[in-house]
Amino acid sequence: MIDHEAGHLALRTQLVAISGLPSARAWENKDFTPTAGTPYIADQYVPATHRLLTTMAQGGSAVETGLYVIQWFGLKGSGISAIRTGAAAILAAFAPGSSFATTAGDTIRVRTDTAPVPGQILPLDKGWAVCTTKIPWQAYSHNVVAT
Amino acid sequence: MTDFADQMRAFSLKVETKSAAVFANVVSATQGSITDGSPVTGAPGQPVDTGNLKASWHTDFESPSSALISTNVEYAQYIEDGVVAVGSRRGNVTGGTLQRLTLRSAVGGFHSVAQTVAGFPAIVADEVAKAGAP
Repeated sequence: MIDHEAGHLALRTQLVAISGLPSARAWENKDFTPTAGTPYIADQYVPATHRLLTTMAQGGSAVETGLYVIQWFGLKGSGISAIRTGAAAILAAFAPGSSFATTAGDTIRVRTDTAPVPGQILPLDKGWAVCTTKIPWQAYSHNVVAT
Repeated sequence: MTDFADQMRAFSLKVETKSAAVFANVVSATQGSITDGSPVTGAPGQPVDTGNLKASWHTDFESPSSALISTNVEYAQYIEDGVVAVGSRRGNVTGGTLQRLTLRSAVGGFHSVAQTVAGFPAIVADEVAKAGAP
């Protein structure tokens, strides 16, 4: 099994390197109070499946999949340009086939059989609108059976 | 020669029958992944408050090889993305400062459709394996 904290941080490192990203960030499971009129970014790391690929359980190859969800909270009623430009920058940073090394020695790859997609811009209350980009990832690991 | 042709026809019929069954099972498993969750895709299924959204998902078979799984509930995309829908009571409860939903349902979660789409190849592989060789 990969180190998911390290995996999340590797993806987040790639995210924050994007030029033009809002400086306000609502990171997963951290308290955050948005400021009216100030766009912000939120992320969620969502592990999904873990499957053994080989018949050797101990030390066998396994593949894990999941989603990295990035939400760009922009300003409602200000048009689509800023949010769509941001979503396009996110897509460029997480192109299919991109790989990111983690501090734990794992490698997270953006899947190529299904690609990252930005969603519809949804209007929200209190002057916000959001665009959610979902990045499907996979990572290979060596299975460890507790003895 | 007739025997061989008969055998080929029988084999072809068997493949067609099995393909139709696999297709129906893939569609069923896909809808199940969205609504109830699935260990194959990792989708959590729909969260339940009133049960309206979960019950709204339905399948239309458009052709023998095409099906559309959909919902007409207007807040479905908001639940999928985990954000507070416009005018929802959840938005009022949070005082309007938070845009992200807090999961209160004991079952289900967010991103079920996305997880199902990402896991669709695994659904197909799983159903083909269950069906076995023709």
